[in-house]
Amino acid sequence: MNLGRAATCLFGLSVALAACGRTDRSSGGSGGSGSAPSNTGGVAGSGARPGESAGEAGMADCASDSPRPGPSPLTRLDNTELNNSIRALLPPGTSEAGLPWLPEERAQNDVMDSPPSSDTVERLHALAHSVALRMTDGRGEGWLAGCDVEAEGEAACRDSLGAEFLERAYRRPLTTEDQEELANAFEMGRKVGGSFASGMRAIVELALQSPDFVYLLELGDGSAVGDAVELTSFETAARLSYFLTGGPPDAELNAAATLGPLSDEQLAAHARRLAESPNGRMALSLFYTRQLGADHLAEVPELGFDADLARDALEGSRRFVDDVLFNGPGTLSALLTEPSAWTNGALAAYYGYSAVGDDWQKVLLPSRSSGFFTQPAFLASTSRSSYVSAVQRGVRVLRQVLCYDVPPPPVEGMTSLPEASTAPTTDRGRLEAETRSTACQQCHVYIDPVGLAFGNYDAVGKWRDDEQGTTVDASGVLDRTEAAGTFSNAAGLMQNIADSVDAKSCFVRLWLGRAQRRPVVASDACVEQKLTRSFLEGGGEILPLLEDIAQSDALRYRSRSELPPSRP
Amino acid sequence: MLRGAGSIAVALPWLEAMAPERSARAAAAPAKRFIGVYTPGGTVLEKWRPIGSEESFELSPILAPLQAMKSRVLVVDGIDMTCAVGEQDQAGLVGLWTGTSQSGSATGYASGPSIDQVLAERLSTGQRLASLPLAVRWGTGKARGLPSPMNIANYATAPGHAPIVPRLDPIQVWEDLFGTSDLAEAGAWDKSILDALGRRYSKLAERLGAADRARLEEHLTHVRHLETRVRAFSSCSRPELVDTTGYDPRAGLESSEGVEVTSPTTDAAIPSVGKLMMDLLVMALACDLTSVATLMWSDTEAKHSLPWLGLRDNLHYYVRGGGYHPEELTQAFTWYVQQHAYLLEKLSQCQTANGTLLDESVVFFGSHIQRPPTSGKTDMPFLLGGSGGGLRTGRWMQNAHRSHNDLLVSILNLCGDERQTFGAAEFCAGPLGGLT
Repeated sequence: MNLGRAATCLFGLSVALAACGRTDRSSGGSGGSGSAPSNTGGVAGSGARPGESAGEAGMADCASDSPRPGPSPLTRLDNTELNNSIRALLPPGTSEAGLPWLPEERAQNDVMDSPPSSDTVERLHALAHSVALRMTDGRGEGWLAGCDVEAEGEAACRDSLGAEFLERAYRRPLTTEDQEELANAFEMGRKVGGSFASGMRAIVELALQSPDFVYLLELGDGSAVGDAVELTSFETAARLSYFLTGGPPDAELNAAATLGPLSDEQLAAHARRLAESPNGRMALSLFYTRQLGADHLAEVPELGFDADLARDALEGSRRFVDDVLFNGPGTLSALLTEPSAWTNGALAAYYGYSAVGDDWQKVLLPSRSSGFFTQPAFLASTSRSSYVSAVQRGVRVLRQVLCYDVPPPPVEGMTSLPEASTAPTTDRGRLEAETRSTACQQCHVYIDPVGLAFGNYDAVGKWRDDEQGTTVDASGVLDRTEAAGTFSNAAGLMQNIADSVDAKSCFVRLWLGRAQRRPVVASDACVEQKLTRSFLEGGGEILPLLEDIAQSDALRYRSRSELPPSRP
Repeated sequence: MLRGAGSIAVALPWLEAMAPERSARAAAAPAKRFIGVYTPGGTVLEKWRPIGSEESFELSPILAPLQAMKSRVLVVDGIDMTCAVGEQDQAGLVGLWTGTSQSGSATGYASGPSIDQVLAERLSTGQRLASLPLAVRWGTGKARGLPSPMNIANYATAPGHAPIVPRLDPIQVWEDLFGTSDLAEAGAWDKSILDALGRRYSKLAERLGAADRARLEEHLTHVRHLETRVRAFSSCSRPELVDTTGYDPRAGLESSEGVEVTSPTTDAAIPSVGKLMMDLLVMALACDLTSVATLMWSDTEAKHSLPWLGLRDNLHYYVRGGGYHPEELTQAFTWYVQQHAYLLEKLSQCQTANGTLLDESVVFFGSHIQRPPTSGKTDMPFLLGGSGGGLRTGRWMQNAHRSHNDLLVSILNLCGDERQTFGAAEFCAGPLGGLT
């Protein structure tokens, strides 16, 4: 038996789960952290990056006033953000139907390691082409009707329509260089396509693929604050807007940015306004649902779980999150323990809820539901078939809700197995038999109880009292952790977790990561500590947390070292 | 599966949950294009049929021109056109692409749509043409150049299933499809956009810090790569117009039974016009003008000569009119297969985003009868070509008297249409199967 990996497992986990502090978790001691499978949701990752040492941002530095921004790598708008941004640019009355929108998926925030894919570049090329065609196809009250070419001339219309479009696309005022490029694009399009419309088409098609649109370009306003460079008001506005709405700054936010740097009060006010807007509510609830649940659930034909149900299940959890955040208690605890679910007719029929009619509605399920993680969007995302994977469930909850570092299993340790004939048939029995060895138990002592707490839910989240003829035993104990305690089922487990400090600090990491468009790292420690303290003191209320993030350094600075040296 | 200490293999399903998600074994993407080709006169079965076994066979004399493309064709043998109820020749053409019997009396049309029209609705969405039905030396004999069940193979999907007259004049088709400068521009447009885009990325990259620059440059390589592909895959080009002097597309108007009016100049131009029609067909697909096309080499009458083969009498004479002439027919049928080889080659040379046109197409080649003297319609001379929908070629598939309706169903299935019957239901036993 290879003790090396087992030792890693033991060491990593005991360090990770024994302490409450931030620094322990950031210590790159656990070898497996970098190779976490993609389903942990990169944003709420364990935080340790190869080469990063603990305590880089010691307590002393937090007292200083000088901002110390963490890395701000150039990030691309992800597919959801690109779609939203393009929608926002379509002239009023332009139909979205039939355009080749980009496939949407979980927020791709692990951008330090992931380059843009050729598939995305190609799809964006096709989308930009189709949008440009649609905007200039001359039908009805289109974009081009906004300027009378005959009366004013092509150049004037090119500039008035084109500049307005480009400014909104680039999310900042235009420079002289931009104006030149606009004229060049028009000329090229006019030449090849032979008309004013084709000239305008080229402007749009180029703009929607340009780095100024596709990426959040942040060159700063030139004013240095210690090691940091302050972002322009437009750059901060963009970060804020994409953080909360997944889309570009709206007219109101843009107007504020035009007037000058955004104050704390302004940022907080816009944050609240944007979060509560329809786009904000959708983006926030969608983000949480996709990151903690899934962006896509597999069909399980043998259980009658088809694509429609899968889609409905995700929407049901999204509505739950939206309801908790904007109509309900608005706390993390509520997200984790509220015994309600949102259902439509199809879900109600499948899951046995008592619903009235087919429309989306809230149902109370006091004995069968306890928050997001007892709902199908999460539970079904841990299954690949009709087989329940308690291990997946345990690992996901530990990693994503508590931010515990759970290394992948050591393959060398998996050589001794129970014989098939004696293998028990319940999930619990089978799992206990398979993870019985000391090496496995290093991690499984934590993973298994958590995963098996969900034993009352089958592979697609349907409630079951029995399994293989015996009553489900969902009880367990999770000790030596911040979320320690015994529990008799998932509701009890989620309550323990909701009461813990670790769940709250993990939640802060999730949203701070989202705002910064990359996982939280050691150099974020000061910002993170401040946010976590406020979050704890505020009883875990989520919208105030988002406002706090909006006012933090997260949206305002970039490290000077990331920019080219300024000209003398 | 891992082996336990006692060498008992134990499945570890829970391990699978940790493993990367295995995608379900992906079915091939449905065919994106359909091409139907009709040749008159049937075949000489003993000169058509391969020798050997399904995967290892020799091409017969008539199929010999396909040697270079052998891996891209499937000889579909043992198919009977059972739906062909009606006049001995007409019913064969009526049924060929519709799977229906000749309606009403022996002078009626089909009672359902043809497969190309059905597929046009699925495959040609958003394109300029729903389909491109073409014909060479058409409307001969008793039809006198007018549409009749003797020469119509395409039928509309709308109720009533009106007969569709194929396009006959290659110059007009050329003008219609390629006359304007639109097409040349599509490629030029894309290239210009991508070129300008590439310049934007490289210019901006210079203004960024090192790490950001690297990221932008990565994006730039994808843009450049796309540009190369657009350049490479611009197979769309205007076909070269050849001199078709002497070819009268309406020469059929001059034929009549009894008075055998011929048009030697039109007949002599068949090879060059046929080649031009095939080039037009291929380019219509390559330029994304349509995704469905058919080509008829004459009609069931086939009252035209083949002077380039030294056949001075019309084809119908060699088929039945002057008695059964298998040697001359073999010459003619071999020539049609040679043309078909050209078509397949051209399709295989046109690059698309994911392969070639031939990779993405299903090509169905056949005649309205098998046996010339009797118009017998068992063991029809059918070929499938291409790889669309996962079609597995390079084989001689020997069926046991399956209905050709089932073949039509399977062709639809290859194109993503999942119906289980097509045409007259009483002749359907279920998809042919074995094509992929």
